[in-house]
Amino acid sequence: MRELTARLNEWRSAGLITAKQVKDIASYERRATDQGPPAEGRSAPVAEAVGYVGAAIALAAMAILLGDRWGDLGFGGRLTIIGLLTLILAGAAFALRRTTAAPIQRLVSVLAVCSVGGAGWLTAVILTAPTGADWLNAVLPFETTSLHVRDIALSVALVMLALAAPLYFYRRRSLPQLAALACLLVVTGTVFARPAFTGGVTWGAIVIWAVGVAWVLLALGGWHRPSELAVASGSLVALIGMITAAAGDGRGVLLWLGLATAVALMWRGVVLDAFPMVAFGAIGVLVFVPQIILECFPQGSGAVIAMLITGLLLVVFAVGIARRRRGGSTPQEAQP
Amino acid sequence: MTTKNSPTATKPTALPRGDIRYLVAAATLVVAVIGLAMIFGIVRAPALDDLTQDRAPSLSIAWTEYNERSDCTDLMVARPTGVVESIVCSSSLDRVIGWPEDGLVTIAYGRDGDHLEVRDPVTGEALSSQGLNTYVEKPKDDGGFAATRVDGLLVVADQWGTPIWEVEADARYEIGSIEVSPDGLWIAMSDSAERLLVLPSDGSSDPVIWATGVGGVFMVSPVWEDTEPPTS
Repeated sequence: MRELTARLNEWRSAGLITAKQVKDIASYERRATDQGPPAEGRSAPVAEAVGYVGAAIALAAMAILLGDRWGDLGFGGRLTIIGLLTLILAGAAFALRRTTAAPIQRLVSVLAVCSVGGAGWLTAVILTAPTGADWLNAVLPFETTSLHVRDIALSVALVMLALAAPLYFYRRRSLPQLAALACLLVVTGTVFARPAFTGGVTWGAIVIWAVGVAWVLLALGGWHRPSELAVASGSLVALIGMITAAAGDGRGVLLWLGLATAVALMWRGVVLDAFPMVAFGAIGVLVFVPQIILECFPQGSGAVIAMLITGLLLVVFAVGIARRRRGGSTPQEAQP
Repeated sequence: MTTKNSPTATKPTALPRGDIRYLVAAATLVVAVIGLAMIFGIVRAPALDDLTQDRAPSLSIAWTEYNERSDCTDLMVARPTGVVESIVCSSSLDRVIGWPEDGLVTIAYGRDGDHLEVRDPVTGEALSSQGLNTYVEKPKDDGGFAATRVDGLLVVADQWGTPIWEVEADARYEIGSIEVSPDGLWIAMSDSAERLLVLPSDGSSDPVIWATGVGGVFMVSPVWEDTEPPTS
């Protein structure tokens, strides 16, 4: 925001825009990024961080205390404790949601995401209910004791996704976005871990790659906020998905697809001047090129050729970045 | 990489208005990949009937299976009536090695090392325990039955190579352990769809599903009732 204000003042000095326009743009951008007053003391982030560390220590202590007695707690006791905890977290997030201060807004995100986790935990406790919980089996349309661990994992992931997705829809911030993506990935992973998919991890990993690429596309199309985080997380997911997929069946084709993904990320990253895309693309090239070369030339000087090609590719992209920077292109100009 | 709003949008909204082309591209990619995964990723196991009284063996069968939910090993028993149940879940259980008249003989872990444990086949209660000194590890006897692939067909054949079950199945569909009943009339086999199948050893009818969700294809090694343990 400070950088934007400085640029706006520069443009005003150059006579490109008026003082009123500077004020309007700054005001708009402040609302758009959903941040509080810009004048934030330097001590505020430190205090916030210390606060989180303190809360984590307190929670850890509570977990240790509770952990000792967890085994002795009955089904009802567990349900009550986790249910109350989830309600408190969700209630606190709801109560604080209209406070404009940035640290409080971040805290709301933390509380809301924790309450999603609590709901998932609550679901797991319900679905792993012991045989004695007859009243529960009377309410549910199935016997909880008949559920396989993978059914429970899928149910927990679906419940969390059902909460995380609207949370991110409502709160366009980093943590809810990461929570929604994580839940989506867990749902994908648990669906493709079912016995019908006995072709190893290949197809599950390919779908995870597709989710990562789609996440990046949505970010580039302006559907995600913050878009930089979505680009970075989506790129990472796409690469991990394809690296995993290429370890199984159809390795030859998938390695090429992985390289294509990495090069596409680097290319778009250079065009948009988006460092995370360039960085993840470069990592992908470093991972996939040697494997492809070793696949094509299992013996001989494959590794050296791989290093040469990888190095040259990275130099080409580095030159591309440098040329764009020297040319004075701005991220705004490069938007799709 | 800021949100690309429509020209009329003057205020930030909870739902950013992005470029519809990217949304379509992302949706198309995900739908296409999921479609391909559904077509090529699913290993369709041969469709079989469930066990019925007229196609049921006269003997029960038992095996052990790790129970992830309870962190213990289930002692599973499938009965000719079609009932499949865990009769006990114990962290000391390893595997079933025999089922003579006096009960299910299992190998169990203990503080003083592994030992033989005889358990009641109805309640799962431990009836007696003794050292492993009488136990002799022998190679599994599958009666010469084996599952192979011939011209795209999955073929289960007897010791003379006579096919008793031929079926068209995905190349990734697998048959695990094959166990012949002591009377030689039935064979039980686990498959990659986590099913326990049973069929007449003469191949007079197709297999039927005795139990589902029985763990990995090579994890289940069931033991028929009336099977003597491999002891000296």
